Amino acid sequence: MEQNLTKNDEEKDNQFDWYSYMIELEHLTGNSVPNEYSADVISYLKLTKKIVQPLLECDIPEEFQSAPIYRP
Amino acid sequence: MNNKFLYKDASKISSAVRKGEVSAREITESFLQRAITLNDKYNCFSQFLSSRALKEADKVDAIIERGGDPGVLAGVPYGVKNLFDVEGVTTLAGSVMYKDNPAAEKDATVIKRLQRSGAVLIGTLHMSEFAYGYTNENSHYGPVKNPHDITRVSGGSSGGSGSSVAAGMVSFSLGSDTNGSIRLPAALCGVFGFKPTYGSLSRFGTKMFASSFDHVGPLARSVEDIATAFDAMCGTDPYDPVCHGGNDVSLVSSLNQKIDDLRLASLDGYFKNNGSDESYESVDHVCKALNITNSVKISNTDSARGAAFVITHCEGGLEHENDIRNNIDKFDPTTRAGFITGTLLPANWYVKAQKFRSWYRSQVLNIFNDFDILLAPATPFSATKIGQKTMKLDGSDVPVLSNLGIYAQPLSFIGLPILSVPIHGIGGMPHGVQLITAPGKESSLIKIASYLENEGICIAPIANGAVK
Repeated sequence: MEQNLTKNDEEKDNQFDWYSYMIELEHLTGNSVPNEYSADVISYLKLTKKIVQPLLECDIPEEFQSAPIYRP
Repeated sequence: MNNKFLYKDASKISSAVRKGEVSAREITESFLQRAITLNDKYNCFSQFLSSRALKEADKVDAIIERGGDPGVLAGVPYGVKNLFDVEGVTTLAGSVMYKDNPAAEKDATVIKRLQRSGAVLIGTLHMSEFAYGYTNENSHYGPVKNPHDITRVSGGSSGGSGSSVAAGMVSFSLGSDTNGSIRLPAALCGVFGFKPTYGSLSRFGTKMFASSFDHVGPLARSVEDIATAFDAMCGTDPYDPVCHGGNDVSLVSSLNQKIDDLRLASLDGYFKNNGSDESYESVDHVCKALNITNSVKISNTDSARGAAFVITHCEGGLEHENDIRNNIDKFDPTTRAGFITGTLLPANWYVKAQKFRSWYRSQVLNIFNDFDILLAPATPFSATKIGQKTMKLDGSDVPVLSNLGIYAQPLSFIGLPILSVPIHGIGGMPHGVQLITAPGKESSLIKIASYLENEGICIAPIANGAVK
């Protein structure tokens, strides 16, 4: 859970330039975030990173694919 | 006003209507009057459909007068979360952005099916904006209040659906569940809430949140009403590509059946962490009633929550990309950042989440080789106060919004059928226990829930404050 984030990860996440990340992604996706909402979005990106961390650390067996399965 | 039927379950109302003991019009008028009066207190309904309801009721009465059968839900009043299309009504999905949209041209598939079964739609119900949020504190339309304590939240996102049933304003309601949005309000409002197998009920004519997670399903005060409503809505639908129509077993036929052959276990590990003592006590209460001594752990459930979180936000962000581009200021402040974030996440997170989903699903399906039904709390704590941001758990303050769904979310994205059953009397507010089974095995859930209801373990009385 959220506690799985190690201190090291947490430090890295805190040092990460979330604002620049958001600006670059805005450019690539064409979704602009007005200034008044950027702090909320950055907080949400940080929360997402915490919740996703266990997934990022999880080793998934090779035989499992992300592809959908079509059976005739 | 026909008080005699106001506090009855759908099955009793339908039976009385079909026998001619009361007309569908009388029932409809009584419920409309009651719901309109109570709505000031609970804020469940976004729109009452009095004219449509009375027309539907008159059709039922006309069929009975001709000696025909109007269906298993004859004259039963119900409401739908306002993301379902209702002919002639603008589909709000909890947002002000859509309030000037043209009205829906036809009913959602499940509403058409309920109409064919004689049910009477009396109104549309408030929800969290775009089905995103666990407390239903919608900034535009106000919070839906919990009938067991109006200072507390109803749970979300189908808050109006849970609260209206708990208050006896309708006999049953429809909600949608992406990451817990039927199960949470059912648990917090103390009623039954059913998220069937992914694809078993058509979602055509509903506003999606995250399509690969989205389910629709009923909330009700009895297991029989859940089963009856589900059976009435079942069937394939060419307009919903994921709808397979469920299985051929009628859930009503599973009521009051023996349960000796069912293998049961409670979920350990993740599902016994980060919750309140009361939430675990609720599960223990059910386990004791069923003599459950086995417990089982699903590995990597924290990763499952992460995967569900990523996929939901990516799908939801894309679903609302035009709204983000054109109406960003009109979002509910509680949902805006989440939807924007969904458009900004790295692709490798999303693909890993999908890969994990396949793996996790196979792991969980393996557990069903040994057990038929698994039990877990529906929520880590009972309904919080309206406006409450944090909750004290194990001495730490945890955010309500991101924690209320921790037990529901990891089970949603692998499509399992889950019935949240209500527990009253542990602490001041109701709790819910999730009964979880393998895809297509809904009948097992109904057997167990029916037993628990008959034993008085899981019952859903109308909230005291709503009973005159």
